[in-house]
Amino acid sequence: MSSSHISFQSLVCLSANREGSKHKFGPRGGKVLIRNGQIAIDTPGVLTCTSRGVVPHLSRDNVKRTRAIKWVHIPFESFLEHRPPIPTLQPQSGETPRINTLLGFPQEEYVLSMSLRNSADGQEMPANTNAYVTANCIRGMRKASLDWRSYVDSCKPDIIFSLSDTPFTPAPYSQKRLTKSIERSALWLADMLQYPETGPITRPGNIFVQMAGGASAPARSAFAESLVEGLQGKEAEAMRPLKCLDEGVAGYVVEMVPLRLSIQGFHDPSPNPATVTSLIQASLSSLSLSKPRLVTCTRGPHEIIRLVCDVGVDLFDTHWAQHAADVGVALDFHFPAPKTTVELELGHNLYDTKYERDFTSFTSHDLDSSTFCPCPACSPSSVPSSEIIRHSFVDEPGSNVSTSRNPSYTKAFLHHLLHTHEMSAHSLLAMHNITVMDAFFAGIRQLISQDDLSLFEAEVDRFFETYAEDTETGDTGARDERNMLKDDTQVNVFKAAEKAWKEVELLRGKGRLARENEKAKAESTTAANAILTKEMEEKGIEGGSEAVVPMLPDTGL
Amino acid sequence: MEFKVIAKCPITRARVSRMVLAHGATMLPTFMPVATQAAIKGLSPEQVESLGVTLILNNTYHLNLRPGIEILKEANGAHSFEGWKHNMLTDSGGFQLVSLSKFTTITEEGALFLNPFSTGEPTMLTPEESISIQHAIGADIIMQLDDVVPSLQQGPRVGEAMERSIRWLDRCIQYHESSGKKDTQNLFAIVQGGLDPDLRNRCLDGMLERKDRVAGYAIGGLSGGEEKDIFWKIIKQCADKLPEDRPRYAMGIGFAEDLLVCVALGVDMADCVFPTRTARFGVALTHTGPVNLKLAKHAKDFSPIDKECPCPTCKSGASRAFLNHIVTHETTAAHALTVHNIVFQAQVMGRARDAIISGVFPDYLRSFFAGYFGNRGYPEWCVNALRSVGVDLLENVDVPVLPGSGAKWEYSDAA
Repeated sequence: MSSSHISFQSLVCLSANREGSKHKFGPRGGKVLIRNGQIAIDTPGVLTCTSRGVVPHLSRDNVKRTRAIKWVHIPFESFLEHRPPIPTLQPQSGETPRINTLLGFPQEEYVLSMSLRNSADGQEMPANTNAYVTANCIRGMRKASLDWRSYVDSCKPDIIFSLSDTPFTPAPYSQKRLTKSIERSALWLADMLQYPETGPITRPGNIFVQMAGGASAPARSAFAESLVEGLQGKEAEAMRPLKCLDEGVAGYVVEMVPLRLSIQGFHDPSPNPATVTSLIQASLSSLSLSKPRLVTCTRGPHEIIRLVCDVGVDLFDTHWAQHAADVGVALDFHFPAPKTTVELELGHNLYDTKYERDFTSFTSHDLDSSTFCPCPACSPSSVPSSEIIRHSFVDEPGSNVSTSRNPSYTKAFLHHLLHTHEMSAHSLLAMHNITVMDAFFAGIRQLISQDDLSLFEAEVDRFFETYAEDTETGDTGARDERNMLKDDTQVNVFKAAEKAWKEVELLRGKGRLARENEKAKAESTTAANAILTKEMEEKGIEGGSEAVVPMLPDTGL
Repeated sequence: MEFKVIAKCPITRARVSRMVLAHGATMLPTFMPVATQAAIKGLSPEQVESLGVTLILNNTYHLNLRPGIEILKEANGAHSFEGWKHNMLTDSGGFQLVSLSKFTTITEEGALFLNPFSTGEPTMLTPEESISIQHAIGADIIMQLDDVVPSLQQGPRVGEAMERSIRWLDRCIQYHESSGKKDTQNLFAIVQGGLDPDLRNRCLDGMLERKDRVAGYAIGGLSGGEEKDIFWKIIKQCADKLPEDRPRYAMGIGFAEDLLVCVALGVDMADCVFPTRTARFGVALTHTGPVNLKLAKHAKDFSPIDKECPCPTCKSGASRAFLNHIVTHETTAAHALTVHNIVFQAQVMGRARDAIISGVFPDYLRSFFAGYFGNRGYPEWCVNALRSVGVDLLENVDVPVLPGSGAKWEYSDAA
């Protein structure tokens, strides 16, 4: 059985003439060729995140409707609740890999990559050991060791992330911990690459390695160097004909969530962009230019543009945009930015009552414009009447169905759906936001293809001037002053949306009845305690309210 | 409205008809999925349309609260607000007199609702107000405001509510006719009278007198926990007496066996939140009974819910194991089962249409019950109800008969 090979074709590099090591990190355009070239993904390009194996909020027919979804990334850990994991039990159907069959992503239409952990999950975890990585599933923590190789051998995703010893214990990490992390990550990569030269299964050519080293530039460089170091002794024997680990690697991955955590700890998750850039550069500077670079969980288009410009990153996920859909934000931005003199927001917080009567689509472009959003929410279309299900031979499913485009869904409708806690809101927003990201990358690629660095940089400046960045703590850098003035009157769209989402969720969401019970119980306990306290005070019993409260149990009231 | 009966079962009271409304034709008998707050939970109108659904229900009470009538008017009605191109029916808000009874007080003038979402002014829902709201929503079929009491209510209140429903019908007709919306929106009357055949009869008499001014009739006040043997007798009594040339709508009916019994008794339309709600709890409806996908026994079952099913979920090859992995954790599991269950309901009714046209409806009833209940036993009330229209489910089969509601459910093997 031949395994799938990934290669990268670099087409344009805008920094070829930059001085020193800078030439390695400029904006570049290319193609990732997957399955020996059967599928090509244009870069800089985008992949879609999944949760429990599905694109959140999108049923399979809606995934299909969203043409922007071409590459899906599957964190495997949710499947660890069963042993062996369910995907490995999926009966093989033809040549289709088990994981594609189980999750309904036909190989002709989708690229599927797989990692053990969910790269968006930054929660504190028990320490890893030499023998295993701690993963998280709905039934608690699971230890994943070399099983990972058996899982990927069984599932055969197009792209595999090697295991990485990324600490999810509170930062900062000691020198010793970082050294261990680098050593283990390299060791586990080596384990993934040890295959006999002849045998039923050959060495996969589709492994992406996660760049270890935390917030220490020397540690990150050291990890990268360990990949290109010549193999020695037994290891060299086991990995023939590879001369170094890097030869067995198809791409490089940087995970932003653990990187941010290791830079600043759990409490201040907005590191300085320059720090991030230099740390990623430290990982990549001794490595091949001819392999794709993937960064997970960026915080929006500004960070993406910085990483395209200053690091030459090729692939990004749409985690940020999908999260925006979760909290009711419809993205509305373009690259290159539209010509305008006012500052624009990246999206609309559709919880905001200002959209109550806004019967326009999510996108500010004209309907006739070629850049009008093609997503199933802005440009919905009916399925052809021949595809509408007929339930009896007298049905007339074609009546009143036109093949032309239906009117766009409006901000007012979405505002209503969000406030009434209707799931359809998030489906429409997810399809829209993923499509906006796809168009954003198409814009970046188009400009890169013009092969003019100063033009590109001018457009980048204009984008930064036009759109307010989505940050945790307000903007950093030159635009600080302007944003401070603004902050008093207007909170960041994304923060405001998140707050509104939480309010509606609390009012209407899962567990509401239990919460209301709790509240009623707490109120009656408080009231009862108040009476007791008063009685006791009147009777002159010492101890006051604190001593009294435990006398009344919470239950049974 | 154009309403034409195109086929009748020679044995039962079942019939197939074609109903043409302002947004196209709908073939009856049919089941109407419920889009309470302007969306079928989790789906887009394009998805619902692709399932072969041509008539959905919106709730007046809910739309009146949010987004509110002013916004619906600005949007040119609910069709355009929610992007639904096909037929729509709105209830009158009467049912919420029962379901939200904590918040309501009833007077001859109308129902006084407290807004459960704010502490503001209570709102008075009069028959005129209900019709006016339904005009703003713009549904193809609108319902009179009725005075609904819980199905199990007894005593003089039931008779009072029935009489009041007739008086309120007159006010609804009056208001509707003077509005100029009569050509595009069709007003249905709702027969009340609780579980008392005499009251039902008096209501039917009263409402039949107004036949020329109503487009169809609904049977209300049922499906509230009454005994099934009483339920079907009331349905039969009403369906028998309702005019041939008006559609008959049984409100709040959604279990497959209930639907087929109602069709056999002469009912044309039904609605219920059951199929979409049970989907959100992880239950898929099939022709061999409900499948509870939360149960561990499905975790390693790589077959689809129903390999014959034309719904997008089954057609995509989604297996029970896959659904078990996401059910109640991911909203898309609810979507996947919602589309499946809507298609299941539509298939049950579509096959009934075909069987009635082909003159084999009694055979369809027998084969459906055999497939759905198998040897586990048929609900006694279904056997009784269908015998009353000349179909003996037990003919040539040896299955037990179950007392009570007999509804089928899937339990864990461990239990």
